[in-house]
Amino acid sequence: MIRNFLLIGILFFPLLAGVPGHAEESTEIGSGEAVVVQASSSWLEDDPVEVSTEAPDSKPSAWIDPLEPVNRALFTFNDRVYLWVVRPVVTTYSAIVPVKARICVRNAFQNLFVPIRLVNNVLQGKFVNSGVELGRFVINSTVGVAGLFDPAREYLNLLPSKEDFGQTLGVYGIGDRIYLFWPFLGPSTLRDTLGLGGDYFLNPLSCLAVADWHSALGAKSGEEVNRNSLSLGEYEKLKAESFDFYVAVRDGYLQLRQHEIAR
Amino acid sequence: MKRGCVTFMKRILTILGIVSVVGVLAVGGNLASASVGQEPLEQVRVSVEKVIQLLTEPGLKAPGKRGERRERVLSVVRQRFDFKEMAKRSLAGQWQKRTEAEREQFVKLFSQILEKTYIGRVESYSDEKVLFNKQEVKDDRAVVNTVFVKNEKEIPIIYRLQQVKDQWLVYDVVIEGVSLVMNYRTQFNQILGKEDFPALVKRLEEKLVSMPDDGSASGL
Repeated sequence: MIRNFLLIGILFFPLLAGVPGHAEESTEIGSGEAVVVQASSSWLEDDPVEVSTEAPDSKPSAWIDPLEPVNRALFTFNDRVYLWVVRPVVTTYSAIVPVKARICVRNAFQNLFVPIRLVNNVLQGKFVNSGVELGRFVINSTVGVAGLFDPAREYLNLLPSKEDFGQTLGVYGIGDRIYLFWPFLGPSTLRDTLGLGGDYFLNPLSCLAVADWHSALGAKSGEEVNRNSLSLGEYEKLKAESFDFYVAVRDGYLQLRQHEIAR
Repeated sequence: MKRGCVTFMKRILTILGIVSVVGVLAVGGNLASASVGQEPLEQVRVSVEKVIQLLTEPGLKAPGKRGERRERVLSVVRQRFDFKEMAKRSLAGQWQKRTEAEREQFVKLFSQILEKTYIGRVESYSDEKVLFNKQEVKDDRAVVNTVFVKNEKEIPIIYRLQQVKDQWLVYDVVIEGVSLVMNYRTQFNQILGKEDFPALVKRLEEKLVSMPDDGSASGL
């Protein structure tokens, strides 16, 4: 599987080198911003539901979330795990480790996960972004001291483009029909769960897991703790602001994924 | 000869001075009219920068000044955000079915919740950067793209605006592709699928009480 993906990657790279004009244009604006430009036009239009006189319909939620009772139970489980285990750990961690260092750790993991973004960019035909990812990897692994720093972003405005296998499946036309809430992993859909399987093979930590799964689990947990420490308090705010936290998270996740796939 | 040269130079400098003053005035006038005029991006920028200025003002940082700072931030926010429009869009189809009194009550409660939410979000502001990228205008609708840079990460924030007289008012905020109004609407729809409207209003009242006053929802 990995070999196949690598093969596809190698086959496509000569193509990347052949689009300097586009690359220039895109790096000028920054890939992240180019994305916003594309997606924002739709926000100019009125959402039909906003002006409709139809009564609110609870059907769509049943349609997307047939497993709601089970999902809600698991949601409560995760909420407890977060409040009782994750939050204390993350709070302690962020009190000890300075923000700058935590950003470095995040950068290093982000650099490590480049195969996931790279391959999925290629699979979605986003060759400019693929080139950006490759460039970022080369620059940040060397000048950025093994990915601890992000000079590609800072000096060249080369921004990472988050792509995963779930998004790739979405681009290929597979809709997200069934919302799933996984213990520990959180919100997902049937499609995105399949996607996680695909990304597993592109994740360097998986290779580590084959040799030594304890270390791999440790690294993965460390990554989670570190990432959470950079948005500490965010979860609690969302919870305090929402009227039905479960629904708020589900809708937020589905909207986010729709946006990521459409851009 | 030398003196003549100096006088000549002086004259040239005077002319240059006058020209540049006139130039500055003209440009300044243009800028002023632009910010007063029809530019949604400029209007959003002015509001956001005013809020940031209030949040970073040393004189307002003392704990005793918190209430005053909050009021001043909210007075800026109230001029730029159309809470009624947000409430209407969040209720969508239900809005038409409600009486004027019900609507008024709902808007009042929802506005207070949105204000508390906004304060809770911005009070932790430290040195994050906000970039104003571009605007798109179509008739009386506009979209302003901004990017919020926090912890060396870009978060796209889109404001959706509607023109009311000479002002552009925000009726939705889209953060990383997630529309605030759409999110509220889904929640309200779900609740109204099982409960009636008074029950929803009761939920809003309870939420308003339970929301932390000090903007530190996390208690951290």
